[in-house]
Amino acid sequence: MRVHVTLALCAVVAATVWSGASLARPTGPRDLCESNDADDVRACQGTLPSCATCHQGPPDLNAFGAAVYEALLADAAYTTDAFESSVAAAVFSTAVAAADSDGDGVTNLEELALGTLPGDPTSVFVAPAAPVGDANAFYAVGTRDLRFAFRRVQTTFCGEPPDFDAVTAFAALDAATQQTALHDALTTCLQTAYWKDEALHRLADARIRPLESIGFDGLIPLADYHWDYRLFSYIFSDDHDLRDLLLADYHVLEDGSVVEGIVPIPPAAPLETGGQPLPPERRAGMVTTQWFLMAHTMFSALPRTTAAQAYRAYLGMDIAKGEGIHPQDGEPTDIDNKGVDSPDCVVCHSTLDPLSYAFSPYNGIGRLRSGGVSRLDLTGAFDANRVPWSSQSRILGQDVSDLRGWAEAAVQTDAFKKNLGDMLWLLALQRRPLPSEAAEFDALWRGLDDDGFSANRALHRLIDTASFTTP
Amino acid sequence: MRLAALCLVTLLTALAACPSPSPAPPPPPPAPPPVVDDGLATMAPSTKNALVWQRGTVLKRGLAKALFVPEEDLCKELDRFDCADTAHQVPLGGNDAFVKGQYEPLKAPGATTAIAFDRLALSACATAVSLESGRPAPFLFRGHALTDDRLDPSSTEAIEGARFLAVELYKRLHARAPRDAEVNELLTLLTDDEGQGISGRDYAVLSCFAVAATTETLFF
Repeated sequence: MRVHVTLALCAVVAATVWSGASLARPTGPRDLCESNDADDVRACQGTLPSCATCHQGPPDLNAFGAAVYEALLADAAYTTDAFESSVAAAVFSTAVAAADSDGDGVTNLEELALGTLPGDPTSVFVAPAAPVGDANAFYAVGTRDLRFAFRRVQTTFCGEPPDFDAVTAFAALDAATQQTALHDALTTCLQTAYWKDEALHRLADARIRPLESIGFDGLIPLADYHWDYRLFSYIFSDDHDLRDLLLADYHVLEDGSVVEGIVPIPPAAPLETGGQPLPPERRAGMVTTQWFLMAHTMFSALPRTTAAQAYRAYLGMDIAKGEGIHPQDGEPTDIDNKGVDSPDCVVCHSTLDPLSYAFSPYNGIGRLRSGGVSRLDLTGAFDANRVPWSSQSRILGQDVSDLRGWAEAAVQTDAFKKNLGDMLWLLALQRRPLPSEAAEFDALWRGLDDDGFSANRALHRLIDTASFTTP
Repeated sequence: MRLAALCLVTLLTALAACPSPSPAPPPPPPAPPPVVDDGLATMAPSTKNALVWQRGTVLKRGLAKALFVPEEDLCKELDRFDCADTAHQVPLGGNDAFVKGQYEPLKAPGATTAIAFDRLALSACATAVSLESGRPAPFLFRGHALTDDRLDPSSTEAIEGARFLAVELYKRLHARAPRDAEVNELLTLLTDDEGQGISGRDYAVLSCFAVAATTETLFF
């Protein structure tokens, strides 16, 4: 599977290089965002623009990418070596910024500020008009409606719409008391089994990526993902610290209590696997559970898929989709001789490989050095001598010496916080924020520090937003 | 979806008529006047276009609670596969990460969502009425005797019973009182396409379905 991932990444970028190196520049997103003119570029706020900003699918440029390319070439002195220092000026040149390359009615500069794609006519946002007509008998459309918000809170967080008596009682309250009642309802809902065991578990699915057949409910139980679900729900509940998604050095038992130290293989385990084999000092929350390492590292010497999933799930950037490309100088070194230093592969692997080194001392299935499935009891265990190279990593330009350092650096990034905001927004509204909701969304994730990284406190702020309360 | 309910009335009526053909069919009754809620036409609509989808698990819980039906008694295909949790899980907005490896649900309703939703709602209503029939005193369907073979659509008793049930259904399913136009629309279900009254049980099921299977249930 690792080979397939590598080949897929290579395939994505191969034609880019063959069709002309001048058209595919992985440093482009970073170079753009480092410009002083990029403060209002939505995709630069906590993350990086994806390849889709300029490419309709690498290597082909979309209309916006072509406009930028033309602007670069308009300077007679331009050479490809000058790309990094020239691209931002080209993007913000009048010829590009004022144009509407994709013909969707919004200029390129406006699209960059809104967070839509200036080269894709289907990616467009037009703010909704104000409601027009007689008073709406059902909702206070276009303004805060706490009755509407009350139904949303009950349905979303308790998993059950409010009944007639509850709605009637709520409607009879004065505005200030309604506000208090709304938050009381949320507090109650966040303690329910629905919230902790259903809603949060569905949010966790794409991050844990369970598979029953090789879980502890299946025929070939290689690891138990129930530990992952319990840890995820625990961290999102009861004012616990969301940074523990990457920093937790503990696990959570079925009764909800915390357990520290190595969790031994269960006595009734059908195979020599299970429990949590890592000592606390080697743990990094959700990305060092036995399931996560087993399912993503498997038999890889360099766990690229594991790092890519950690980057996707907890920093919100999917390298396979051209997101979060942040090339590191001198990378990839092709440390495992897979050919990823060829020009075809460098675009993604210059970001991915340095992300991956820190995961390399952790076993996937069994023990790597055996050359096959053996010593299943070592699945997900730490082995400093697992591979002969250093675990020196880089994440978003920062050197880290091991996975614990990787995690500590990751939780400091805006990408991590913005991804948490995305997760909370998704829980509350089932969608990503609209461009018109950008200010409220930014306030949500930027305020996580003040919330002590408590999901509950952040959700209490979220239900007060116009995005949540306005029908 | 209300059109579907009316079609079902027609179908049931037609099927009921098959075994006993009458020598001379009565002339068709005049079409009822269209039910128009004038207030809706001029009411300011929301322009946000950003509603939240009430997905399978929550939908199921809501219907069960509103109709006094245990969740485990709701729709099961082949009497085995729970409609919301298994058989129609994906179109109803759920996802099965563990077996199917579907880690994220649909972002928006799909082409078959309405069909699956109708299936769940109709089953819930039919089950609710059946359960009510076995109770010494019904909880919800109290407008008419469920054992009445043929309601008289012109009788004050039938009309008042239908009004009573409309209010109860809207309160239970939408946590609000119905508008006059909504009540009047439900009253049209008292009469089949031949101008005859339908049974108390059929009216209970169909009026329940007409109120439950609306976009108001599906989005919030």
